Amino acid sequence: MIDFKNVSLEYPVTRTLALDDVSLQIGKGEFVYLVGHSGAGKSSFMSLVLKRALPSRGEVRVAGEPLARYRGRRTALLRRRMGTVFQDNLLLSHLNAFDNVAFTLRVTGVPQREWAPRVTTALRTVGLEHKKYALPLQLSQGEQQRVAIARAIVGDPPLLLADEPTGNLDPDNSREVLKVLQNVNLRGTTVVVATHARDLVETFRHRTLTLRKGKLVRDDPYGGYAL
Amino acid sequence: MNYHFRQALLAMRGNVTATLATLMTMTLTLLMLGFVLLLTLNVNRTLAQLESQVEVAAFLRPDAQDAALLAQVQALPQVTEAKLVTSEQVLTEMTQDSPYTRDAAALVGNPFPDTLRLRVARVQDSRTVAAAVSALPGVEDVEYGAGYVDPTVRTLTAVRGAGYALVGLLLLGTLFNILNAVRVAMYARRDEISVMRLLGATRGFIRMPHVIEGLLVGLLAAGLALALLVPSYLGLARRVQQLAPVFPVVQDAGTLVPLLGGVALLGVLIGLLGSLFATRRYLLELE
Repeated sequence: MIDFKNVSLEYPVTRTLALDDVSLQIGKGEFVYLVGHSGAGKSSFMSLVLKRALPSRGEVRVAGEPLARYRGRRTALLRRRMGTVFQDNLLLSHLNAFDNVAFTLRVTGVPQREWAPRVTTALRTVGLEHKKYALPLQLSQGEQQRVAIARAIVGDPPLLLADEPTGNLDPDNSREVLKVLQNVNLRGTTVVVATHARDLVETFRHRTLTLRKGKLVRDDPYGGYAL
Repeated sequence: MNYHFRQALLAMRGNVTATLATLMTMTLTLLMLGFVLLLTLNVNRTLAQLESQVEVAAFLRPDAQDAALLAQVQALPQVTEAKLVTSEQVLTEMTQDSPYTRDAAALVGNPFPDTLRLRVARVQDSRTVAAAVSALPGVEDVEYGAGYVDPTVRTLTAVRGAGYALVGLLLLGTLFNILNAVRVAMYARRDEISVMRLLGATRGFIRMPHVIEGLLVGLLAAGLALALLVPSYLGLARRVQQLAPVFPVVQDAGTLVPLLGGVALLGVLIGLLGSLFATRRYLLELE
């Protein structure tokens, strides 16, 4: 699903080497943690997969296709095949939970008659079907993050990228969000979670990639947080 | 499309000051443009009338070869019509206007020379033709209304040029206003745009509300400009016709409708192009 070949990313203005000669593969249907301290390169990895940044060296492939080939409209179509969840959930404050989730379907041109069943299913998956009319401000941080996950999965993307999805959450809500992400993975979606939440990585064990100063220093197929 | 239209209205409402500034500048520009175009139209018609009336008169010496001179001036490309008027014919004409002229002529002799009367294709050619004719042997003097033709043409051309320059500047100002208004509107929606991009919205989808916004501002400005321009012009035209019927003021719908329609279309086009350019630039900056 994701293939990095000798990928380096240097930010031109600050001359920071965010990723340094990283090679890795993430297969279809995997659940993978990306761990490391702040500045280790986790978010840069996500940016490359989302094509928000271009590698300075090396090649990034998603679903077998080099991302360098994606331009203009094709980049938009590529992003439709990836759900994204961030630490700041990026929910639109003037829309309720239902409309926030339906927003994905609106911008991707899904016919309106399909919205209700698909949004309801997505909200059910994250356990928030009963809060579909609540505005983001009326939801807890954990609930907001679950709405963001529902928004990410409502388009049935084969890949879900979550960048510090539990960064703003207390332990109970963090576990809840992780369970939801695992459920999504069980439906066949490849899930990549960038996190530095050691307890979660230790509790819900999956393949773990460890980054340090931009380098991939460990690839543990059985999980565990070792920095 | 409903969604995009709603978003466009929301963007305009949330950004009232910039929208109003753009609307006012654009209305003013279209108003000025309409005014200059109408002025030009009337100037052209007045010039055409002048052209049909302006005559170059060449006064010949008594020893001049009248027939040969007539043939020579008829050969000039700018001359559309030329005729020889003898001194006797001139005296007859003058006597019709002033009956005592013949009595005076009986005392001192006919003072009027034989005259070549020429009409030119364009009023601007009068000076050239006058110069060419005055150089011919046997021509004593030439008159072509230099006192009013030259200043009139110069003034009208200058007014027209200044009008176009002003409209050009205003168009540029309007374009910058639209760029600014759309940019501010997009900045206000930056969170939504950022989410849209992550979710896989195409550029066209993101740009659409702002393109509609530009289009709506253009349409509104065009409507306002026409609403002000049409009654003012028609009122002024009626007044000019009453006070100075000599001016051929344009009032026929067949001429006015396409001209004013063009002004309105230009407003819509500026709105559209401005917003297309602004949205494209904003999205390119994000990438």
